[in-house]
Amino acid sequence: MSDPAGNDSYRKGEIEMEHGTPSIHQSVSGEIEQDLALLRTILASSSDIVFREFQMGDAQKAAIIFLDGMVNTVIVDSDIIRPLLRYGEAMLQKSSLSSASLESLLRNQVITAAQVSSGEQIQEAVDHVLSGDTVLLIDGVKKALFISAKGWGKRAVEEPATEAVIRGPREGFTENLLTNISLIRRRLRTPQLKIEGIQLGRLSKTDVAITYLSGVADDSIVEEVRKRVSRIDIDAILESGYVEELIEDNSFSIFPQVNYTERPDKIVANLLEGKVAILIDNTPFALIVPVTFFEMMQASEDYYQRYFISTLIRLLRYLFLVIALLLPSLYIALLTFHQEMLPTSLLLSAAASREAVPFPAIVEALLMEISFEALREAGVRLPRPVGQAVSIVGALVIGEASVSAGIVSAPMVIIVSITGIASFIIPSYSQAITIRLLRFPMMLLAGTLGLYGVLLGVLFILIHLARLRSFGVPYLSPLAPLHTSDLKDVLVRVPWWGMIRRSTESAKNNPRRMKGMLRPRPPKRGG
Amino acid sequence: MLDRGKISAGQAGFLMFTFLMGSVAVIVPSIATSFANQDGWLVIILAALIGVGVVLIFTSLGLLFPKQSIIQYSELILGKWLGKTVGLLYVLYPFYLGSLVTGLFRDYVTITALPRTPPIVVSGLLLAVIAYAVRGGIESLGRVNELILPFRELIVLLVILMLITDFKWNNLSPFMGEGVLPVVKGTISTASLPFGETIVFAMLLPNIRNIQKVKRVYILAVVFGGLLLSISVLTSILVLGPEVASRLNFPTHEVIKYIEKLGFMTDMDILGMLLWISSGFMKIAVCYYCTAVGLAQWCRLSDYRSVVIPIGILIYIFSIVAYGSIVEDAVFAKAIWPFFSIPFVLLFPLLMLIIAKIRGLDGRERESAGEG
Repeated sequence: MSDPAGNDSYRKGEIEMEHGTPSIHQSVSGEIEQDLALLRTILASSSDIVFREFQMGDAQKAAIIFLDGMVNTVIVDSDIIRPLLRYGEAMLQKSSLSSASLESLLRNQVITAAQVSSGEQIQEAVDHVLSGDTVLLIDGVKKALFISAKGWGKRAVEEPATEAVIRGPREGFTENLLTNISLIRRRLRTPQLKIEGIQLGRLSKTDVAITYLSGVADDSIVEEVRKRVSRIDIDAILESGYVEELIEDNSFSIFPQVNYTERPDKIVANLLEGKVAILIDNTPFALIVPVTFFEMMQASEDYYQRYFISTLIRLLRYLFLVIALLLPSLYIALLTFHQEMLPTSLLLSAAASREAVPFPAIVEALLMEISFEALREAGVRLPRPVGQAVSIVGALVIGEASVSAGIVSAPMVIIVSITGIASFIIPSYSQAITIRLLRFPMMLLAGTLGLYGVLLGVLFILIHLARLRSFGVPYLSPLAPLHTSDLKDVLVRVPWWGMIRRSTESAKNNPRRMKGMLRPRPPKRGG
Repeated sequence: MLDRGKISAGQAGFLMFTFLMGSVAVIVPSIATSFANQDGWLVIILAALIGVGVVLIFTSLGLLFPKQSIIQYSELILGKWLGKTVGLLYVLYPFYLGSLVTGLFRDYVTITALPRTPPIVVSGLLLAVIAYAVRGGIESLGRVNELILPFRELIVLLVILMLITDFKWNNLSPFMGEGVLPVVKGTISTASLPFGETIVFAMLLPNIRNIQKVKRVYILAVVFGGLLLSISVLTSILVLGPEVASRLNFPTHEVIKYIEKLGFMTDMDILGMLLWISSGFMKIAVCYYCTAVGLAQWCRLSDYRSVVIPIGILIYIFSIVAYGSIVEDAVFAKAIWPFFSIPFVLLFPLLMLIIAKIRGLDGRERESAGEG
């Protein structure tokens, strides 16, 4: 923003971004007819807006304005309109009141709704109406009362569709920010849990909450998150992906540097590690920063299952991470360049099955992998009943037919299928899709330079990962740079009584999470 | 400092270890065995002891000026003109070394794995990936190496274990059958080849976070590197016999072919290629990095990243020009390299250390005063 020229064009963009009515900056006049007329012009052509005018007693005019469909009409009826009509008159007759005391009288003794605030600007009134509050204007009072009676259709708390577990809570975030915050609050009943609200998007005015545990999270990281989030200036935020791309460290990296989840328990576990969560209204996905490569390979269930099982499953995941990235390229390299490494019998059967195939291994593999990716994508986009049919036709019919037609060899079908399954074993979807994409350049390298090419590709990826940071935290930590105390939770998961310390990089100030010596011991016999 | 990245002393030690392991496959085993036949493993251990001496000299010198590299303090010690000249030599040394190693690995890959691929494609791609690593700074080099090292050495140990059944212990005798002279000759040669080359690590000293540990860590790296090198040579002597091992270009590569386990693990030598390339990669990367940072310091540039690509292109060309063939290089490494490297490895550092002591130069006090 230091560049004056850039500043100018940016200003122009701002004017296009919001076509403000000039009169919106006026204050509430106190003349109810005039204020209502102004509001009607500002909120013109909005069929869902309701202006309800009424009188308290014989002379006191008042009006409430709200958006139909965004308020709970039961509350509006019983806690706003009814008390105003019933008691307002009696109150007013007590004495002649100044406008200021009239406002406080209504606020303190008449309106029974829980949240009431007031403001003097028309702008504020418009904002409150649009965010679902009910605005009360009273003739002669130069203030507007904002009564919260929000209520709109929302999804119930359901099991998250993208992160299912066998053992563990089944609650997932919804599109409602307050519901999501309550899901976190219920798991962390401490004042240390901080939820800093900020509004992003000039038109959408999306509520965003920066959530962290003070005293555990590193202050410099929290400050960095605050800084990066608050510099976002955009017309609207529709999903957490907008924020993710605007705050990540390296935009040109294919690897995700921000984790996301729809599980409140996962958010809480990360908060306890000193991470910062960014919750965004209107999406069930919350962001977690900073994140490392190895955290993306962990599922929340790892911590709920017994540690033996978790460790084995984790090792399985790393094995299949390698398979998802390398198996087709290794197969291509062996078949094209290093046939001597294959045992003779396997080589013979591979050669026999490839006899009718007109393409070199690399073309064959690319054909299969690309059609697999297309099938997968089609399966996601298509309506559910149709999707199943497509995958059956794609997987069974086409696969079978292409082998018998001699376009691809049977071993290649096996390789592609295993690779396809392997990529789904990675818990983080964004990580999985990255690995799937990287498979293609690796296959090209294998097809041109054999295992040497594969090695160069792997080295390149590793170097890239070693250079990458997420909010200042090295992406490959705790393996590189090495933090030996954090190795308890990377390739293996030690039992809970061994998890004495939090992760070094994100919780420097407050590393200890439990008392030592918590390993359960049975009572001594005969004691 | 041109690269603000800092690595721990441990990471620097790991880098030096990998740097030494970069010589496992090429040149060193065949030199050691060609001089001393069945005593090749002993040659490496003796050479490692000399390597410890080399490390002691340049770390003692470097620790006098912990915030400066050898190119910067040579000017301080030897005066402007002489210092600049010596500094330039220390830019050219890793450049030359890097080019030779690039040439070696280019031939190694083409001969063993990709006989029909043009060699210049092999080295070009290798250098392109290395250039990316060098641009990432010493931090990313340290991290990548730290990540790969345990896996690589684990596989190396597995390979050696799987060869145990093929060991023929008779191959080791007679111990010093031809007297001491071949062993001494071999020691001098191998002392200069992988162990003397560690002088390039004098460039990295200012980037090390806990510099007081560096002497111990570097010595440990040389000792363990020497040990593993010696074990690899020992393995190839035990399996192949001294005559075959000394005649082969890549004995530690060929020996992997002897693995035949479980009926399907045969002809695994390409696996060896992957292992040795991944350490050779780091060796070239360290040389490349030292050249780039050294040149930037010598020319007083503000950022070394601008010279990374030009230097890469120069190394690429020079590896074609200066390195003829594997046979030529073997002769060069045996007969010329030891004498070529004496001034760089022993003469200049020792001279500078003595002059610095006599003139009472000490970069530490001034630096710490500046910090406080």
